[in-house]
Amino acid sequence: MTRPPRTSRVGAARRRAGVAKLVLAGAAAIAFVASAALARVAYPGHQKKAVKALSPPHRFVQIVRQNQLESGILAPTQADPSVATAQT
Amino acid sequence: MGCEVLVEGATAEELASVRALFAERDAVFSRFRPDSELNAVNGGRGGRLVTPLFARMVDVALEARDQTGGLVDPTLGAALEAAGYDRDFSGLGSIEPPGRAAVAGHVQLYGRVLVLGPGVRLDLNGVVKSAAVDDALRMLSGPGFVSAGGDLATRAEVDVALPGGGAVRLVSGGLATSGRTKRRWLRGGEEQHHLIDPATGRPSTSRWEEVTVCGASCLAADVASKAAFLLDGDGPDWLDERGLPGRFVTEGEIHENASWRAGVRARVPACT
Repeated sequence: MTRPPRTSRVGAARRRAGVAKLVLAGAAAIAFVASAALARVAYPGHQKKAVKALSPPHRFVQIVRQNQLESGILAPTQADPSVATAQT
Repeated sequence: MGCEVLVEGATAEELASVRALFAERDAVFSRFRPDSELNAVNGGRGGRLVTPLFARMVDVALEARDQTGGLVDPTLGAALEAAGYDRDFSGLGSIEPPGRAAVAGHVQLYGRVLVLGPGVRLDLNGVVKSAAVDDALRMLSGPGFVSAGGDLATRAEVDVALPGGGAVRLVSGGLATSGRTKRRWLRGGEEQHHLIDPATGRPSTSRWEEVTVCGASCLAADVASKAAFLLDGDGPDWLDERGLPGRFVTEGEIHENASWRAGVRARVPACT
């Protein structure tokens, strides 16, 4: 029985090592993408829907704006006027 | 601003600050000063970066327009000029016929970038003076009031004389009067005044001579009094729907809406 030459054994070992490296790199890439996708889904800080502007709700704005025309308080006069209201 | 400013309850430093505030507002918003920011804005085209103060007043004016359904509109500067109010009031008296009426135009504010539609000229004096009164009142550390030409805001109870006679006690908030009998002039034989009806672009033909409103602030009172004036016969009810006390004077007669009568008949406790 003849043994294969030493150079061919080394070449075969290099090929196996190359394949193993490719498999490991592929597995790592898949693991990275999967973990990133899982993180995106699971991490509470990540948006899961379209981003909305950080503005107060429309109803709140309406209420506040309505309050801009809020009334002051009047009472019967109790002394001589010290100032007058008039058109300018 | 062409009016007397009365301040009660201010220290000397506060008084100086109030004086500076009104001087600044006049320099920025006067229609009759060629170097005012208002005139620079009105003379420009397209978008323009304005100062934070100017942007704030435009925002306030647009809010007033929204709240009054377009009655108090800041884009009627051209209509005001067409009516002849294109120089300081003391210089009016032209016999030219009224110019072409202009109606409300487009204005948009993006932060501090202001965009005016073609031909739009702003007139912010519908809100600037009353907002200045409110801002001046905030400068006072103690009780007192600020009045600019009869538009006032108070932090202390004050008795106020009213147009057409009578008085009322202003417990809190502001009191403002709008009308057509003081700033009026003849043009082409027609009487003109500064309260423009946005529907026609002409001085309003409202039956009221003077409308006084009490609001939570001088700005609120001023905006509401202008809107109530322009609404003519619907003014008293419009104010009542919003709980705003209003007092209307026409041809020597005085008409008070229900909110006004309720206020002056018995003191309404303030919400705390």
